Amino acid sequence: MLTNLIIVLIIAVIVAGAAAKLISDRKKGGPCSGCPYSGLGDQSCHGQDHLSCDQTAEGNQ
Amino acid sequence: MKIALTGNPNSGKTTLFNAITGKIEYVGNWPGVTIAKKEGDVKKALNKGESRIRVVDLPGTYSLSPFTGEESITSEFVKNENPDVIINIVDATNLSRSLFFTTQLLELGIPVIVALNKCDLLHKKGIVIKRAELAEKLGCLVIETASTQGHGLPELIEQARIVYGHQQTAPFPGLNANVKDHAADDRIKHERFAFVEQLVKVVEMRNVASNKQTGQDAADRIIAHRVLGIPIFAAVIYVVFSISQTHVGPLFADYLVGWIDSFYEYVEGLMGADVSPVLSSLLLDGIIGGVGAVMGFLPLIMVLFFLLALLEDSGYMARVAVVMDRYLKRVGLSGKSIIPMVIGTGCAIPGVMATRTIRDDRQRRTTAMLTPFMPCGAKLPVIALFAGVFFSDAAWVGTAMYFVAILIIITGALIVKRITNEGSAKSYFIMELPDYRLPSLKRAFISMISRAKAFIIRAATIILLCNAVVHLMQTFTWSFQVVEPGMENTSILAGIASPFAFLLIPLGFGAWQLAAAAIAGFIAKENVVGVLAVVYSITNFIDTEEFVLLSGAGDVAAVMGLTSVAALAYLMFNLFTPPCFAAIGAMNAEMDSRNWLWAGIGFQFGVGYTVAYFVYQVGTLMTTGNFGAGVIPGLLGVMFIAGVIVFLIRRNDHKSKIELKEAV
Amino acid sequence: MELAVVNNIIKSRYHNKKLSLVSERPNLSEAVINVPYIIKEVNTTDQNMKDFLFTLGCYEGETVTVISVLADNYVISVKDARYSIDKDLARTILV
Repeated sequence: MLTNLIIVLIIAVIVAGAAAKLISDRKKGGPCSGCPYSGLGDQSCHGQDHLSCDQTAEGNQ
Repeated sequence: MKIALTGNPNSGKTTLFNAITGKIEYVGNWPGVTIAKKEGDVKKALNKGESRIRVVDLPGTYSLSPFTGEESITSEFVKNENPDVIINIVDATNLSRSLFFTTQLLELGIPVIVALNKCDLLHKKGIVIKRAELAEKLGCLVIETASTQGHGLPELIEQARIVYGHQQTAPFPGLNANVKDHAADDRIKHERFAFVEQLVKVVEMRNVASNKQTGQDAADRIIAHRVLGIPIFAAVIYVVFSISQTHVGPLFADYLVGWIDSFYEYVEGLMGADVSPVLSSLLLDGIIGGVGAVMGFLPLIMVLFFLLALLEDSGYMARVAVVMDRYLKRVGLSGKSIIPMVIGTGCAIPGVMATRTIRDDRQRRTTAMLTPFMPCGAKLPVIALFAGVFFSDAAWVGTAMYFVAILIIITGALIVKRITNEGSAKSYFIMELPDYRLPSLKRAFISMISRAKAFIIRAATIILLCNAVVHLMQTFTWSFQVVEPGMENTSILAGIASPFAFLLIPLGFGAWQLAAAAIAGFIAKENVVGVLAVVYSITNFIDTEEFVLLSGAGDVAAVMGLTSVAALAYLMFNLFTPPCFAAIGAMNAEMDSRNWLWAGIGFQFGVGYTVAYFVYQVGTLMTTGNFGAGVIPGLLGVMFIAGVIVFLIRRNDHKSKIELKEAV
Repeated sequence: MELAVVNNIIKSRYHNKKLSLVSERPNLSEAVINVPYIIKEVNTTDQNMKDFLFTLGCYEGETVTVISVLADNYVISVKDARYSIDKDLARTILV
């Protein structure tokens, strides 16, 4: 039972870590972690919220 | 303190920016690579002062009067955001053009430093520039740099700190930049060039006139030849794929996959037998297996990235643009349409964003709609998987995918032109042809590492999450019971994917597992690989002999239940349907029209379906002598798609005839 | 009948376009390779393009040389740089 709990914790940490990295990248407005040419402008787009990723140049701080 | 980097396109601004900030922004040896401003701090090694120095890299421009959108970013920034110092990067091999922009910058009152870049090329081209005299005549500092080698950069930053706060005075009287009157503006522009011409006459000596034929021009005549250009391009891409996919890539990949496999076994052993099978399977098959399958392709992709970076650095891509422009112009696209498509081979998002430079609405929207057909970096593992498993790592698979993409783009543009019928919008094409140069291994290496890093981050975040979710959906039924062995069809995942799988039967891949992988591909295309690994419990797609030994169940192809023809159809379906959601978001932003967006997505689905249908049915007919399953329903589907397109074209023909009549 | 009228109009428009090609003034699209020409005028209604060409140093009185004709593009040398331009643009540069 204890081993199961540990495995659950490990999986939770991995998944939470991945999610946190995605969210923090989005918040920073940094480049899309996926694009090989990341940094080409303001591609803070990630999945769902991409509609806010407009073409203004100002968002690229 | 804030420094703005300005200069003509392809003068080396971004390379200089990377060198002084230590960042890795995308650099290409052709104009128009930077489409938005980028910021960074000067790295510690170069900054001798206490305060931090902010550097802003701006898109290249030839003057302060903007021509396209990305150039206006530059003029607006320089005029409105009051940088403390302007570093004007001047291509030393082309003073007579570059200094026109310099004369405009000198009038802004902000201290200007001219970085005489590409100085390393001067000797080779037989050019001598009297730097001191140039500085004196311009009334500003002139520093020789070679940003590709980092030469002259410490001095550049040092001088920027010194001139900070000074007032710049223009070296010539009476050229007020703020005139509104067009005739006066014209006169001033002429005076500017006259000033530059006189200046260049004094400070520059050339052994060879620049308008004489060179070896490069001779090379261009072959490489960008109207007939030869295309087979040369095909050969280049073939070589790239045969090195990365057939020869060098698998060499490294076998090692990596071996490590991933032993890691899998290590974790399996660590957990022992008393762990709940649901949990161990989630960790092993869902997370490690799924991410591992994608990561296994990293070596292949890295070799590919390295070779593509070499190509971009060499100046070849600008020639490809010239060859392709001819075909794109004929189908009503802008001459500039080729640039987004070449960028799209890296990632569709910046590719779609690069359509911003196209001024005509219809051409911009069409280009944004068609750019995602180019196989992007995320699609490469998918190509590599199918080429590896079904076609024994043949290089023609990857090459063919690029050329099918080009064919689809040309046909697609033709259809859009017929539907909208505004093809008469005149657009001119002009592009600077950069000099060929020996590509730098170091730059290609840096580019490869940064792209590999992005690939790994992506695998460890979005791909990992998707795989975990897919695995859970596969493990549980709708009533949240664990799926019974042999009852895999009752899982949530099967339930969601089955209706879609039904539609895919005529394409040769009506299994819910394959449908699920294709759907997950809309979140990120690498998911196709990850999800296939999860649903079929295959970690190792590369060392397939190893897999046969381990599973004993036959090879990967047999597990997936696909013939080679169906596999090719499935690969093409994944490549030529709509791109990932993020790219669709970019399409939405650049198209700026809901109608166009939905039409574009609909078109992309139609293309994916039609291409896969014909590849499967015709291929099956050729290999077995009979059509594949669902040939008639599929034909109805394809005819429906064709019917919609024909209807739209007819409607438009009708409309334009009415308009003509009214005009009469 | 109406349809025939419309079709005729379409035809005649196409024809006119062809005719206008014949009576063109000398421009860069007919230039001899490797011979420097002096630009007489940039003849386009597209003011933006005209301004842009200006900033490249491509304006009346300047020298331009056609280096080669690739596909349907012309490689020209203006100031000290090489550009690839298409035929439509070459036609607007009168020499």
